[in-house]
Order: sequence, then structure tokens, then C-alpha cells
Amino acid sequence: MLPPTHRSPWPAAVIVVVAALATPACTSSAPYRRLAEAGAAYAGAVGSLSTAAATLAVDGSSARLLQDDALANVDLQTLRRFDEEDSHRLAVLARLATHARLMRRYFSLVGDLAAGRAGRTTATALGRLAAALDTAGEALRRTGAGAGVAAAVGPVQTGAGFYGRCLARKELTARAGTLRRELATQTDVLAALEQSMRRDAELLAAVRRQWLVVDPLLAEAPVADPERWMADRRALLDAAPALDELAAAARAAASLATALETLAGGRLDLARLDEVVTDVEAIGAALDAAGLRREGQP
Amino acid sequence: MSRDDLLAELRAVEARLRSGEVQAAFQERPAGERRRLVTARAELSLLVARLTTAELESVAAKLDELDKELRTGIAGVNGRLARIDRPAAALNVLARLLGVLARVVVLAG
Repeated sequence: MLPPTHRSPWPAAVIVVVAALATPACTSSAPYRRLAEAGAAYAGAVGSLSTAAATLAVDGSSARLLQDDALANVDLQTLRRFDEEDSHRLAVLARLATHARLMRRYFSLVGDLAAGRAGRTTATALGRLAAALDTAGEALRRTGAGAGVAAAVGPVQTGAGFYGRCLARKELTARAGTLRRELATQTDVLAALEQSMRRDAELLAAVRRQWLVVDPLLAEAPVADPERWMADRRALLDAAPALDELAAAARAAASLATALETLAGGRLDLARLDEVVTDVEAIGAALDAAGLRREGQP
Repeated sequence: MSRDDLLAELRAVEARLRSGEVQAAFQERPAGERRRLVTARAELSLLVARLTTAELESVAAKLDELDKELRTGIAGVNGRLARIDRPAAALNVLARLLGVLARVVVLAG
């Protein structure tokens, strides 16, 4: 038994509360802010990628039609079949874009939680978004190999300030399983998307090269606009290696899923988050180099 | 051959059919041959596009069943394209490949 002079002056209940608040999960919200930022950046990149894929698919079809028309007049029925095929592709890509938007909004709200900017409305919105994400993910999975598993978690009750910051971890931990499953679905879709984008981009580049570079140069008359010809040739050559970086999207999804897995294990792997950010930057650079990023897109 | 590998090979065939080399070779051919190439090439592009969309939806499940036949078809088209001096023969091989592909698309869809 301790002598009276060594007894703590604090009541036991206060010690328990202080100890609980001082646990590593609540001492710093910075890792969870980074996770939320990486997640939002990743989702933004997937959205940009979906838009770029849609542009490439339609432009690729147009290039094919024009190429065919140069050899033999294309009929209306063929044009309609290409239109129909493109519309189908656009619908699939729109589903992916919707999913990406929901995921981006979700991670932004988690970022608000981590930064202590959140109130009860954020918690309710998070709950609704998580359910919507699961529904959107289910739409992506429904026809695929991955089995759909309902996993919507109820809304997190939250306050503001310090307690709210702690809840970023709670929210991400509670939702980690759902998010990992969504990311696994996206990894597969993105790998397939990369292949189709590469195919469309390569064909488009080959056809453009023929029109803009080869034909004017081989024609008997001198190139009409040499500056333009040089710029076109350079742009086409620059765009080709950039396509390799489209594979970064599937890598980013896998890294983010692994980071969430480490979070569920009690220790967030920050190196994985750095990989996500690096891959997201690579996607942006690739879309820029290929002239496929629209103004205002992440 | 996995589904991804098969699709990659079909894309490669389409890319070769749409190369500047093939385009130039057929520009000098009679109108009938140009028409046959354009019809077959557009058909191949549409089928590959359909398979790509199906892959994005992850529904091209039964692709493996016609794997061997398709392999032979792809090899045939590639072989003919390597000898582009006989465009009419290349068109015949391409037509056979399209027949197989059409069955694949029915299964995948």
C-alpha cells in the first residue's frame, strides 16, 4: 500500500477519462487527414479518368469511321452501330464517374471530421454517403465476378472540435471494410479501363499521325503550315509514353485499399498514402500530356 | 490464354488493320476490295468495342470456350497481314475470324 503522500490527488474517474483522450488515436488527426486527402485525390483522379476514357472512346470511334470513309463511303447503318456502341460505353463510364464522385465527397467529409470542422450534419451526410457508395459499388459489381455484400454502416454520432477530430479515425475504421471492397472493385475496373483507353488512344494517335504528320509531309506540295506541323508531330510523340502512366490508377486503388487495411489493423501505413498521392499525380500528368484533362478537373 | 490476353491480341489485330501500311496498301486496290476491307474492319472494331465494354462490366465470362479457335484466327490474320501483297487473301482470313468473333460476342453479351 502506498503511503498517503504518494496517493494521486485526482479521482480515478478523471484519470480514466484523461487516459482515454490521450490514446494515440486521438492525439493527432494528421494521419487521418492525410488518408482523407489521399482518398479524395484518388477519387478525383478516377473521375477525371472516366471523363477522359469517354472522350477517347467517342473520338476513337470517330477516327475509325473517318479512316474507313477515306477508303469506301461509310453508310448510315454503320454510323448508327458505332453510336450505339459508344452510348453503351458512356453509360458504363458514367456509372464509374458517379461512384468516384460519391467517394470523393465521402473522403472530403472525413477530412472535415479530421480537421475538426464537422458537426452533426457531417455525420448524417457521411452515413448517407456510405450507403450511397455501397449502392453505387453494387451496381458496378452486380455484373462482375465480385460478390456484392451489403455493408452500410449507420451514421456516426459526432460532436465538434477535438471529439470530432477523433471520430475521423472511428469513421474510417468502421467503414474500412466497405471502402476496401469498393476499391477492390475499382481496381479491376480501372485495369480494364486502362487497356481500353490505351487501345483507343493508340489508334487515335496513329490515325492523327497519318492525317497531321505523314500525309502533309508525303504530299508533293510543301507542308502548308510548318509551325503547326512541328507542333502536331511533337504533341503526338509526347503523348505516347504518357499512356503508360494510366496504369497508375489501378495501383492507386490498391495502395489506398492496403492503407485502409493497415488502419483496420490499428496502424495506418503512411508510406502507402504517399504512393497513392504519387500515383494520382502520375495520372494527372498522363492526362495532361495526352491533352485529356479538362479545365477544373483534379 | 486469359480473357485479357485474348482481348489484347484482338486489339493488336485491329491496330494492324488500321495501320497506315494497310490503309496505303488498300488505297490502290479496286473499289470492291476496299469496300470489303472497310466492312470487315468496321465489324471487327465494333466487336472489339463490345467486348471491351463487356469486360468493363466484367461479363465476358464464356470467352475461354472459343479460345483455341480464336487463337488460330488471330494467327491467320497476323500471318496474312505480314504478307500484305495479297490483300484479297487477308480479307478471306479476316472474314473467318469475324465469324468466330460474332459467336464470342453472343456468348459474352
